[in-house]
Amino acid sequence: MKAAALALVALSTFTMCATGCYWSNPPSTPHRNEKIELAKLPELRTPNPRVLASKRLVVLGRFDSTASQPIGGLYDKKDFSISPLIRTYFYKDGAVEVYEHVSDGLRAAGLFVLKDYAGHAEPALLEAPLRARDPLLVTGTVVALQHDQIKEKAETSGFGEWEAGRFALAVKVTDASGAVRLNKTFLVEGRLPYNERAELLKVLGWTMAERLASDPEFVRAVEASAQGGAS
Amino acid sequence: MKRAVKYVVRSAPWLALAVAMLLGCGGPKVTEGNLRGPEIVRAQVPRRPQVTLHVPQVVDARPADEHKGATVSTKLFVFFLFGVHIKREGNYITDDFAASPNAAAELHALAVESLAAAGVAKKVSATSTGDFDLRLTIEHLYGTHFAANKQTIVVVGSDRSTDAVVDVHAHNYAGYGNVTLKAELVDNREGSPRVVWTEHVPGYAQRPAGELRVQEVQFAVQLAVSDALATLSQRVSAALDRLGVGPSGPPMVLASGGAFPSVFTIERMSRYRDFLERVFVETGTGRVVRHEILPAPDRYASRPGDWLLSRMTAEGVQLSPEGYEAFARALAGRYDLRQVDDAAHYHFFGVQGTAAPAAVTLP
Repeated sequence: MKAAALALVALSTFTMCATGCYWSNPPSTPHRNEKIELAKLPELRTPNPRVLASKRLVVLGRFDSTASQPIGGLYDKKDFSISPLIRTYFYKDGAVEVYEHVSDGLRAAGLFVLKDYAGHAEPALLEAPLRARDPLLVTGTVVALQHDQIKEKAETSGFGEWEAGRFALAVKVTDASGAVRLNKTFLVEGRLPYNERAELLKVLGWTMAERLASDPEFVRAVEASAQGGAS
Repeated sequence: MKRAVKYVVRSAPWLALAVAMLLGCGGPKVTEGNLRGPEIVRAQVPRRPQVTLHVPQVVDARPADEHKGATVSTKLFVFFLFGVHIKREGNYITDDFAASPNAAAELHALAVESLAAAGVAKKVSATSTGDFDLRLTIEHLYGTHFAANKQTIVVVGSDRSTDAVVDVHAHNYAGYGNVTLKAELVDNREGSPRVVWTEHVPGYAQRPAGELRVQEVQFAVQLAVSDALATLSQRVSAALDRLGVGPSGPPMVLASGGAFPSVFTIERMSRYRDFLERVFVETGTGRVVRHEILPAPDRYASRPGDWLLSRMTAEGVQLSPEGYEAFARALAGRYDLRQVDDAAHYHFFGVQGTAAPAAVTLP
């Protein structure tokens, strides 16, 4: 009897200690992905950048990236047996895709933007014909890019299916001599109702452009001025 | 009381076995990792490198969690007297042993090898000084996979026998390799070193989910390193080409009043950025003389689907920026060329006056 009791105590102790964190809260998302809580995210709408005017040419360097893979996952919070995370997604072209959309959004805002695909809008690497036009240089580093699909109980009734995303961009604006005018990180995040044609990265890119166009520091850095309402 | 004790004694081996299983005893053994993966596939392009390149020792600036790694050990663990229920969930992350105990040194050697094989410079050296220094810092380098499983063992006993009911659910997820290098190109040609280019160069890989997930994750790290180094070669080449000393050779200078090439080239990126389509057009007649499709040397060189006036002549010589401008101006009398949204290329919309533009970049 004594041996059995000892065995029981030893087993329980071993079990408790071995886990290291008995009531722990383990990560429920892939490494470096954020746990997205739909209720806290704004619903994204069709971006409508405010109209700007600037006489300066803006060269937007190809975005580089420090973001991670997987880019996101499919979460089914209404029906799962082990974890809501059903699968993870790999998409290595994410940074260049949002680059295209941010550029389009800034052009829609009225800025004259040219993309520097081969470079990163480095002042030292400006070619002579472009330098002669005295452009302002905008470099962007994608520091976070996440795209999840989430099924969960809807806020009212039934179930909801959502696309949710998060996009952080470190922006630097310099002039052709290399003088830094702005160094700032911008974040956009939000959700869209699931739709086969929903283009979340496009909406995130355009929303980022909208954010930039409404940021007084960015507007000042690219020597633009607001022209009243949205485009 | 005696019966209860007897029951516990009988159940103990089952419970001990369950705990041992659930704690991962007997799991796959992790072997020491290294960063050398498969050969890097390169686009076959002629190289005429102009300068020498020195790659100093690589700086390892990874966060601590990529050195020490993580196992899927954080879990909710509920222990009952008559059974065990364990739920495991979380991320496996390679540690220094699984990724590579000598990551900085290995990456340095691989970078030198890869840049030299890509023909980026006349000489790529790990030790001697060069016209340019390429400083590399490892910001991220790890493999990871998510994991989730739950297991329940209930011991069912009587006076005569003890049995267990085991319920196991596991879900495998894909493995990923992630590498981020910070690269700085330093120009040493004019005495005082000057940083001319800085960029974060990522490398990614995905491997299938399965039983051999740790090995797959280790392989994903190797593939991600190869991916990053292939991108690094391409980006360093582009930076050196911008300075006119890159592997594309000395650019061809064309004067406005001089003779222009008899054939010009237009190109567009394929939808999924895998291929570059090139069409060679006779300058005088507009007749297409050749059409070729080749692996895209740079997947992100332009927006897919847009026809651009190439900066490459039919003979494969890169035009200087001024030469390209002059050539475009000369062609513009006959062909519809417009600067839409690309700083380095004109969009091509066909022969003047024959058709509406086939593609217009928004807005």
